[in-house]
Amino acid sequence: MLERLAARAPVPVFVAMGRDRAPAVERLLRNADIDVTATPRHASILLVAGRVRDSDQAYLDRLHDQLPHPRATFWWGDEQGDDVDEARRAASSDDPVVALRVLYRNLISGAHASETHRLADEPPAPWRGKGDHGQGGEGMMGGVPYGRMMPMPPTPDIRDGLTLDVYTTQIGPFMPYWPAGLVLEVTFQGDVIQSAEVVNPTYPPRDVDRVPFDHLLHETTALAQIERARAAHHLVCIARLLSLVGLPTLSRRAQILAARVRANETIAIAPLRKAAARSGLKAALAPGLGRIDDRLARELGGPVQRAAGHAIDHRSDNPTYTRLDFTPVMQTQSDCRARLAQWFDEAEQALALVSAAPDAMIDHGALIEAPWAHRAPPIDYRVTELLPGLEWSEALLVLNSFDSAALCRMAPLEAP
Amino acid sequence: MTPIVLTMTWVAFLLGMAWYIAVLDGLWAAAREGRQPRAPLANPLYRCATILRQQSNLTEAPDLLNWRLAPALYAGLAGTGVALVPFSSASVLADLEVGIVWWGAVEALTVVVVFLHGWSANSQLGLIGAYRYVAIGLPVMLISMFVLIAAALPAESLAVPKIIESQHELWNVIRQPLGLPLFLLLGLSLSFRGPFNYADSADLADGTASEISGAARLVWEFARLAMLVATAAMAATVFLGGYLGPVLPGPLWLLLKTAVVLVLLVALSHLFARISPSRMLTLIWIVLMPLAFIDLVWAGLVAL
Repeated sequence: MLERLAARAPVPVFVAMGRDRAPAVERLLRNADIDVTATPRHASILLVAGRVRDSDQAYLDRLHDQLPHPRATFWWGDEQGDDVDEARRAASSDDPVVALRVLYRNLISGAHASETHRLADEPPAPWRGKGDHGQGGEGMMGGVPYGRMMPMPPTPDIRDGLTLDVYTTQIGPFMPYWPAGLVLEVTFQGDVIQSAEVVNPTYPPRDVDRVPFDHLLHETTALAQIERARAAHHLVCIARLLSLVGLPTLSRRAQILAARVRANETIAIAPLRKAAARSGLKAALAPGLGRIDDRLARELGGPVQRAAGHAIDHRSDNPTYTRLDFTPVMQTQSDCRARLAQWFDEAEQALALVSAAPDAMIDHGALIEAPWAHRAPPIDYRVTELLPGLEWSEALLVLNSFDSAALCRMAPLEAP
Repeated sequence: MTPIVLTMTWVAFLLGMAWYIAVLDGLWAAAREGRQPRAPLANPLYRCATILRQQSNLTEAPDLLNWRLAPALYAGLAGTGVALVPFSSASVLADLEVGIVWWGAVEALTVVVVFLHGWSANSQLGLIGAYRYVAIGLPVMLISMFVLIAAALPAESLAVPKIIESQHELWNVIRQPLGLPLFLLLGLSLSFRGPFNYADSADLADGTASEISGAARLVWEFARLAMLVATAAMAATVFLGGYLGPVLPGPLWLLLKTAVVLVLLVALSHLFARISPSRMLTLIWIVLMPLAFIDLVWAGLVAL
C-alpha cells in the first residue's frame, strides 16, 4: 500500500550540478513530476548532472551517503563510464524524467537495490563530548561539535559588536542556489559571514542560450533568435532570486516563461514583474545590498556594467539595431536591486525588439552584446570580498545577483 | 459531546485541516504558476507515503534525545493549542480558566522546540535556522500576547469560552481591527511559512529540517501544518466569534471560520517575499510592536 502511494508522488531528486548541465536541470525544476529537493536528506535519487571535477568526487561521495535508503544515483550526461547500467543514466540530449520515474518506482518496490555507503561510516575527527547528550566539553560553555573548547572570536562581530562563537565550515560545491563547483571555506558568527576563502573555483559557464550567439560567428542569424535567448537567460537568473526570497511559485513561473521564450512562443513579462513587485520583492532586496564599485562593474561588463549606469552595449553600433532606435537600458545603483531591474528591463526590451522586427537578420560576424558578463581571464577581485558582514540569506542573494560568467571570473582559485 | 467523541473530533479536526492546507498549497501554487494542479486531493497522501518510505537517518553525533523529541513535542504543542478551542458552548477538550496563558506557553515552547530541532542535529545550516527562528520568534510572540490580552479585556477573563461569549454582540475583529491581522502574522511565524520562514527556508537547504528524513520528517512537516491549524482555530475563536453563528450548528461555524482563516494564511504565505532577518527584526520592533501596543491601549480604553 505504502509503496503504491509513494510511487505516485513526484520523484524526490537532489541535483549535484556538474559542468555544462545548469540549463538542462532547469527543465526538471519546471516538471511537476519531479520534486527537486533542497537537501539530500529528502531525496531518493541523487542526480549527477554533467561532469564532476576529480577533486569534487569526495564531496559527491559524502553527498551520496547522506541520502536515506532506499536510494540510487542517476547520471545525466555523456561522460559516465560503462559500469553504470542503463537504468541509471541518460544522455545529455535525453529528457531523464521518464527514466527517473521508472528508477524511483523500482527503488521503492525493491526491484532496484538501494545503494550502499561509499565512504566508511566513521567520524572525521574523534568525538570528545562529555555532556549527558554528547554535547561536548564541560562547564557552562558546553563545548562545540567534536568536544573542543568553545573558540571565542578574536574580534567582536563585524556587524553589531556582539561576541558570539565562531565556526568555520566548507560550503559547496553542490549546494542549491550556489554557483556549481564553487567551494568556499566560510567563517560564521551566528548567521553572519566573517570571512570566506575560495577552496575550489566555479565550473566554467556553459549556457544553452549561447547557441544563437555562437551561430552568429559563422552565419547570418535572426535578431529574434538572439533576443529570445537574451530574454530566456535573464528570466532564469530572475527565477533564482525569486526562489531565494521565498517566492517559489513565481520562480517557477519565470522558469516556465523562459522555456516558452526558447520555444518561440509569444509571452509577456510584465505580469510576472508586477506580481513580483506586489509581493514585496523590492523590500526583500535591501537598498545597497551587494553594491560593487565602478571598476569591478566595468571589468565584468554586460548587464552588471549597465546596472552600474554605463550605457555600453555593442548593439548600439549595429545597423539592424540602430534602425530599430535601440538605446541601452541601464540602472544607476549597481546593487542587487539594480541588477535584478536590469534583467527585467533587458528581457522586456529584448521581446519588444522581437515584436518590432520579427524577420530582421544580423550579418554573420557582427559584434552583438551577450546577455552575460564578459568571458575573459579572472580579474583581481575575489567574490569572497563581497561576502564578509552579510547574513547568510543576504550572501546568497548577492551571489545570485550575478550571472554565472561574472561569478566564474570573480571566484578564481586562490594563489598557493 | 462525550469525552471520546470530543477527542475523536479533535483528532479529525487536526488531521482534516492539515490535509486541507496541503491541498490549498498545491492549488495555490498551480494557479500562480499557471499550470494544472497535479492530483490536488491525493498528492498530500502520496508525499506522506514517500517520506514514510524513506529511512530515518542519523547525523554525526547529534543530541539524539532532543532531535527525536523535537518533532513530537512540536506536534504536541499544536495539538494542545487546538484543545483549547471550544467546538460548541459545551464541547472543549481543555476548559481552562487561564486558556490564553496556556496558549502563550504554547507559543513560547514552540520557540524552544524549533531551536532544539535545529541545534540538536549538529549541522551548520540547521543551527543557522535555529538562531534565526529564535531572533524572529520571540518578538512575534510578544505581539501575539498583546493582541490576545486585548481580546480578553472585553470578556474580563482569560478563559477562551468566556472570550467567545463576550462576542455575542460584536466580534473582536470589528471591536479591535488590528488584532486579527497581527495574530495572523504569528501563525506564519509559529509554522514558519512564506515571509516568516526563517527556520526551514530554501536558502538554508530547509534549515532545521535539512538533516531529517523518514518518520521524523513526516511528524515535523505535519506539526508545521497542525500549528497553522491551531493558530487559525484560535484566531477564528478569539476574533471571529468561534462557534457563534445563526442556523448552522456551532462546530460547523468553527470549521467554516477556521477554513476561511486558513485560506488567508495560505494566501499570505504565498503572496509575500521574505525580507532579511535583520530587516524583519526592525519591522517587528519599530512597526508591528507599537501597533500591537496601540491595539492593547485601544481595547483598554473601550473596556473602561
